[in-house]
Amino acid sequence: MQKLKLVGLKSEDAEIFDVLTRSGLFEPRAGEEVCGTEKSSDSTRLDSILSKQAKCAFAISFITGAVKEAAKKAKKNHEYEEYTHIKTGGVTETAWADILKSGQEEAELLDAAADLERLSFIRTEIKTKRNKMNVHIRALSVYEFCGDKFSSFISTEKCNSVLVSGKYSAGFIDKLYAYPVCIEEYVEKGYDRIYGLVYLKDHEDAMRGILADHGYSVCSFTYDAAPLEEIAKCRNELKVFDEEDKAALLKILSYAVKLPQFKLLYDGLYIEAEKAKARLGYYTTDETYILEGWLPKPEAERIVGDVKSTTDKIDVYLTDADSKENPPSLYKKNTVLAPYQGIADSYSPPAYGEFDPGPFTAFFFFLFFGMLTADAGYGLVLSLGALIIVKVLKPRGGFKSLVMLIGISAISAIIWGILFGSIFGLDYSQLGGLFGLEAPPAIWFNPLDVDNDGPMMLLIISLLVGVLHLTCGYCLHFYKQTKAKHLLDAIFDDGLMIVAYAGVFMLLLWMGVGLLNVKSLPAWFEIFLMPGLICLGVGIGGVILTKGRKKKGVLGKIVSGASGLYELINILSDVLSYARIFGIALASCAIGLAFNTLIELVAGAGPIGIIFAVVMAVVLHLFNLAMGVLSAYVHNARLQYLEFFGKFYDGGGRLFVPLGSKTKYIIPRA
Amino acid sequence: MGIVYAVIGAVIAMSAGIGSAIGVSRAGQASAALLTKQPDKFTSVLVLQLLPATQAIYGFVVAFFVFIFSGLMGGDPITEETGLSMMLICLPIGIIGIISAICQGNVAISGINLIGKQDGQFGKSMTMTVLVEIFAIFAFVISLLGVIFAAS
Repeated sequence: MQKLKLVGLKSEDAEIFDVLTRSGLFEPRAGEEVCGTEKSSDSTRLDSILSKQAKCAFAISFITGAVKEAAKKAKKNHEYEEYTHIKTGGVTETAWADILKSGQEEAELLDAAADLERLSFIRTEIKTKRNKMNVHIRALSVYEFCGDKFSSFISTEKCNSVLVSGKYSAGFIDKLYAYPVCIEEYVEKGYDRIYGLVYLKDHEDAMRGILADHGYSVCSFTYDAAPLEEIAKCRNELKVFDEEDKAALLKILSYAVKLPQFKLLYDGLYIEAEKAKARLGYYTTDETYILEGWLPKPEAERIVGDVKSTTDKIDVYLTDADSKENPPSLYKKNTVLAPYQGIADSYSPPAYGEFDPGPFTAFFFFLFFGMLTADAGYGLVLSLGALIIVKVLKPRGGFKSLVMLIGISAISAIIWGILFGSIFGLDYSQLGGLFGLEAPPAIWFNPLDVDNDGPMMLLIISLLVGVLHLTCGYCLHFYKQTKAKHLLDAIFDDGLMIVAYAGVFMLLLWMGVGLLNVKSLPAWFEIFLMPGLICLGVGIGGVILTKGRKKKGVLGKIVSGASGLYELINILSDVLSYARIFGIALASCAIGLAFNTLIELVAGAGPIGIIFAVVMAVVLHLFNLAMGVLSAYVHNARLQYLEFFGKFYDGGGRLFVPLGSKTKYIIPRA
Repeated sequence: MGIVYAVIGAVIAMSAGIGSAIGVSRAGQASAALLTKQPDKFTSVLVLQLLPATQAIYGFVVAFFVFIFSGLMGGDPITEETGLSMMLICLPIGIIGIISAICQGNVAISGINLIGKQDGQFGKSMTMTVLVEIFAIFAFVISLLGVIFAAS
């Protein structure tokens, strides 16, 4: 990385910024104070840009929602069919020249955004009115069997007449007739009752009491229309609301043609906002400014040349980055390794100048993914699926990295599946049986082949690759220490642990034969017992003896040395952690076997059974695949982060984020 | 009768999954709460959420070895004495697995809260969560070796 420091005229800073933004390789940084200058602090422009960007974002999401609504309505109403072909998602490649000119249509688009906001309020208001009307209709519907107008229930000087509704209640009518009352029954439907009552005002309280006791409510409507007439009137109003809403929706949809321009403006404003934020870090005089930032070293001279070609009234200084200035880290471009870099970045980006763990992480992640999935059929589905997603959907950013990661790692699953003889849970002997052929269960061994110690072999292999993984971590730390010229630390801290792990490796080989009696392992592995113990002893003993080498005083050295015993427990816990590969791989194979047994049972039920069996096979194996991939990714990542990175990786850095690299809807191109 | 005792032992070993289920589900609730505000931290919280699942895997491995060595999956069935030994030796992973998984889930929740409040703390959160696993590893080793030695 190189640090760029540029002094130029304020009147020309827009052109300079355009050149740097177009390069896609410039990250601005906060400037260092210079005598005679002052820092820009006016954020008015930034606030204005962010406000416009928010309006664009609203317009995009509002139009997108309207297009989706139109697509649903188009199934019943052909008026909306023309809007079903509008694409709302995806990203488009756009030339830098167009992106930087996106501001030309800004005024027109912001006016359109304001109109969309107005339409949004209108639709919300209509929705509220519609909801209120529906509630009102429901309330009116209670009285729909009453043929008289609401206004006919009036009070006179001596009498009250009311319309009441409720559920059948024993004794209600009898209690009413205890007073002078006239009762008109409008409906007796099920338990629903509607009555018109006329009674003396003197008995008002008693009547109300009887009504309340029996759960009857008095109608409060006073419309000069019968209930059905009033309901019809309300339904007509609903139709008017629907027409108004439809008009508003069509008006919104008329803006759908501007969706690409809105997206371009959104990202154009994003880039302007980034520039405005960078300008807040400038130190300036009345006429000049000082701009600072980072450029990748291989491209720095070329970019500076481009900047100088825009104006001669500029001073440019390029210096090598100093790690004390916290420069960003940038990985070297590698299409195959790029998806695996996200694994280290999720843990912590590498510090500037730190050793890139990418290639080693990629190798072991690839290896373990295959062992954890352990099925050639699943691997093939994953690889093909990833290829289709990348080619058709053209994903970007983190999602693209994840898809590529799984697609590439699935090749390992194919390899291990072929070695283990597992294709959609069927081994070679079962597959051969389908075609009347004889075949061994696997090329190497089948994890479920208990008679031939398949599970034991899988456990041994899992622990052995774990030891290799851990040893690799220590080797990388050894390299790091020697590069920093700490040779003694490298030998005593890492070299001895490498020896100890060599001992563990040999002991695991012995264990397969001497303890677990795995018949498929060569019997001569028994010779590894003594060398393994010796290496382990030398390694751990050496650590105990040398751990306190930097401590002062005998007691300090002894205490530090004793803490070296903890390394033995660490070795045990680290190695056993890899037993998860055995557990997860075996579980996946066993679930596949269980599903296949079920599918075979269903398929035996004739032609219909075969159809069901095919459907079940697809659904069940997809489920097993999904669960398997999730476990394979997460447990694999955990092994990288804890057991591997814990040995050598510091991290704590930050990634290089060039100006304008986080566009949402467009991919800039030169 | 030996196989019966061994199968009971396998069930005890698999009961470590109860603790894993509780730990993972609690951590999942904390993850969901964090993701409402910070959806970009999905990968980090997913790893932390799944850490308590390890005890279930260990229990599964021990149970599987019990099946192999007890003669349930073929071979000569074991004696009553051996079966009883296997059953008892599955207790460490069963009991310690349940408790350590629940406790690990609680630490995972704290780790999820930590990465929600401060960036760059994923490594520390994970390390703290994994420290609880050491005790389950001890139990796993004892149970696994015990099953192997009991059978031999």
